[in-house]
Amino acid sequence: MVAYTFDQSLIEIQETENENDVTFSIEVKSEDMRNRLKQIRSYFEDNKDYTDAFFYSRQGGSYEVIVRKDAVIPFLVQAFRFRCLESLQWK
Amino acid sequence: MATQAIIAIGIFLVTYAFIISEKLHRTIVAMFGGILMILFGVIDQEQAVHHIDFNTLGLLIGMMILVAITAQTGVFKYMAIRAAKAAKGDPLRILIYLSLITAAASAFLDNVTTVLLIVPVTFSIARQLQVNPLPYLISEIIASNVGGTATLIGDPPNIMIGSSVPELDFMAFLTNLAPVVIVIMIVTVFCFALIYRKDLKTTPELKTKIMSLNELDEITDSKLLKKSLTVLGLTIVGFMLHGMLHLESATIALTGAFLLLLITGEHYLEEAISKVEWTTIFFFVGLFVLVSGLVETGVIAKLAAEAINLTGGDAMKTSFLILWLSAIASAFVDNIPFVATMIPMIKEMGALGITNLEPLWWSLALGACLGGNGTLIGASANVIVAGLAAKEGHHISFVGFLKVAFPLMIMSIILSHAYIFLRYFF
Repeated sequence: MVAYTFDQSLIEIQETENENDVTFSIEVKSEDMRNRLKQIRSYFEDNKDYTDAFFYSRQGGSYEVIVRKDAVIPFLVQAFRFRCLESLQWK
Repeated sequence: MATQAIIAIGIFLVTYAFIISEKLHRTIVAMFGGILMILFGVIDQEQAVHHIDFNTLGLLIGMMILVAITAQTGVFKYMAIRAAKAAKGDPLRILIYLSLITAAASAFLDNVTTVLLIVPVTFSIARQLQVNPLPYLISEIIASNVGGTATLIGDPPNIMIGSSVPELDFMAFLTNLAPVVIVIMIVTVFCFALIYRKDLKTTPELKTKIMSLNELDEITDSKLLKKSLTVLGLTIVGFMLHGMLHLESATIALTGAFLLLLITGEHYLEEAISKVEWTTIFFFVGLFVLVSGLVETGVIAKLAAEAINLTGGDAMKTSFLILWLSAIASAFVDNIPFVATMIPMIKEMGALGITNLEPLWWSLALGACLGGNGTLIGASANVIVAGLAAKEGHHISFVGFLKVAFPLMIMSIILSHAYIFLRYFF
């Protein structure tokens, strides 16, 4: 189990657990944060695993990321790496 | 039969057996077979080099570079999401639209490249709709092989035929093959709708989610997109005019590729060159040398004479023989070595008295390209998609694919048979 925190003035993240995956509903509040999210997306789209994380960009500017359960930790690590998260720790 | 001819047949058959068995990488086998032809003195190095068709290689390399750069813009994801929204999120209509996009893209790009571009976004759309991705993947495989049949640059067999027969230019392929391919595609899409209508259901909420997607966000570099589409468009116009301009198709493709590199800057060079499928290029080199051993020793001429004996030298019967033989063979073995062997044989048939070879070339193109749909191992795109699907936990079984694809392949060959009869012999 991992816990994470983020700067709510820059990004809002909501997590919903499904049967085989976890859905992250993400609202970005600055262009800088949007670019960081795009870097995470680019990482997962270039890694040759086509079903680890699906990124959906919504018309209102929000995002939905559906992450396969075995890819949740790598996703959060990349989110921390690109500074979408402020902290990430084992719980 | 001369000793050299027997050695050439031996090397050819052993090489072919290894290619079919897939025990070793086909490129290593083909190159080794070609080298053996030289080592055993069947041909010398100069003859080998003379038989390598640099037009085929140049065309493939040029198009691979063009697509490698264009793919970085996100335009293919944009098109797929636009299609999903145009289908109002309905899974069956999305399957039809994605199949049509795949067929159209395959007509102008390599089939493997096309499926590699469309498969990731297909997984994404299927997940959003919470439907099984397999009907989409199977339809895209079949659509890519059908669409690729329509043009000179759509499928390796056509590239090889176009390179070997200078009078068959891009427009000749388009005007002779596209009409029947359009008919086949319409019937095929209708069949997809019948086959998968019960499997593809979703909820109104998930359809709404598809409609709320922002496809514009998929475009990662709009400047690069403008440059890429402009050069790609100019290249396709160049293909349409290459016969009139007396330029080889490889010249057009390489001009397009290096024009794009010229205007985008050298930072794209390394990646674009690295994305060229060099294993495929060397596979072709090996095959050209391998087949040259059969040509130089007179084996191909003998086979052509036997085929003419079988059909009595009648152009119609010979066309139908080539069409069905190519289709059945291509369903089970790689169509590239098959076509590499058939090209010199058809040329030899011309020397043996068949005056109008054109229907024979179109029969070979239709049979070899469409035949690839027969089984899961019939074409490179099939194998690639099956591999990707398996890796992602969605197994496409050999028999499962066969049940859908083989009848569709036979249907496409029956339509081609009727087309060849009506257009060239009626």
